[in-house]
Amino acid sequence: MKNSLTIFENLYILALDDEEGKIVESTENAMEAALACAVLAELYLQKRIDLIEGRVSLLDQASLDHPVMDLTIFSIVEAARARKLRYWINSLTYKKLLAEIPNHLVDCGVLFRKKKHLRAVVPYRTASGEEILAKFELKQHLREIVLASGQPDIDEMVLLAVLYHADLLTLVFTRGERKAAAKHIRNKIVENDSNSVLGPGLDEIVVAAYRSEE
Amino acid sequence: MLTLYEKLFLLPIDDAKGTTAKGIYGPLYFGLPGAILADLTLQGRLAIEDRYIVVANPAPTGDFLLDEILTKLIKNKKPHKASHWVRAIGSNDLPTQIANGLRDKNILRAEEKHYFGVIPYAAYTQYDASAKFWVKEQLRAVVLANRKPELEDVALLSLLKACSLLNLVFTKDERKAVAERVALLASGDIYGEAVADVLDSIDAAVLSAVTAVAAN
Repeated sequence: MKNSLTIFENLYILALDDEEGKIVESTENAMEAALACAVLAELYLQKRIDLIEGRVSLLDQASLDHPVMDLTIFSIVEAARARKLRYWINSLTYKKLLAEIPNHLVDCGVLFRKKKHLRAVVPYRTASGEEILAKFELKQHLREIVLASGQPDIDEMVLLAVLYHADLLTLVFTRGERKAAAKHIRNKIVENDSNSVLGPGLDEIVVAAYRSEE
Repeated sequence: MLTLYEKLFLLPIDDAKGTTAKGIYGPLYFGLPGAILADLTLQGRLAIEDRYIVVANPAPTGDFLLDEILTKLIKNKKPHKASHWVRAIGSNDLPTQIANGLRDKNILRAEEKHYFGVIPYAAYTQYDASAKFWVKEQLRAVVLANRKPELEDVALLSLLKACSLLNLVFTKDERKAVAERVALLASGDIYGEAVADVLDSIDAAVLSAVTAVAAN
């Protein structure tokens, strides 16, 4: 990812309505499961969890110095037995762990609170020194990957796959682009020659909330 | 270098289908003439006198379509307001004419009645993207990242606003902030008063025509 934020933080930023200062209302339902998938995908990428026969197993319980990820790891440690992905997605949503995401973004100086509304900190200084909104930079980068054949890294591919499966491409792509964007993500990331380029573990995580249980 | 009317024509083309999305023909019918008039204004060919559009400089621009319309304006004996010209220039053939011009410039490729962007666009070969992508990215950067706007950017944004087509460039969550920023840009002194007066009258004419059609 171009910035130093996690996949789920970037997803949260994308869904933040600039005017309302909260998650875009029409995406609220889809966002809960999408954020949970993104948290688990981040833990998988950080080699804290693995999937064994569809169940989440802990690889490493060392702290990541992040409240959401550390609380999730703690929950997995505390669980009596290895649970299925769907269990953890429901659990993360139920335990309201995801409400911690904006708090951490505020602590990091990416967002600030004005009364009950979340606002982007302007300017957000990028790695190259430009002073622009974190959200704009992220959207621009994702748009380049999909519409201008940019090269994504693994985090960006996961984020695009989550947006695709959660039907949240409207957060990045405009009218007239969305079908082409969905086709590109489907062909290049989700179903590349019938296999996901994410690999079986990540692929299982990003579709877990949207695939009916067998 | 693309003209305003070419940019406005490219933006509503669906990347996957190659056609203009439903519900956009109406706004485009009046928006494209508005863009042509705005192009002529920005190139110093038109001015406004007592609310009537007049030819300030009859020299050809070098663009076939702009010169065709400029000739029409020169030959016209009685001066008219922008609202007249927006309707008089509009025609069902105009989009085809523009598409043919873009095809000849290798910006679009046509497959029967479908248009697809040629990739990469010759002006920006660093990425495999179409001209439409770059037009959008420029507008997005001007509005959302405070990039210094060109005159054409502000004129195009104002036209998109008049046509209610800002959704072609911005996502839903951005639109309210965008509408305010576009209004601010257009009301600034980027053009100078004389040009601003002509463009304002063109935008108002487009808005009025689009609104009237939508109401019927």
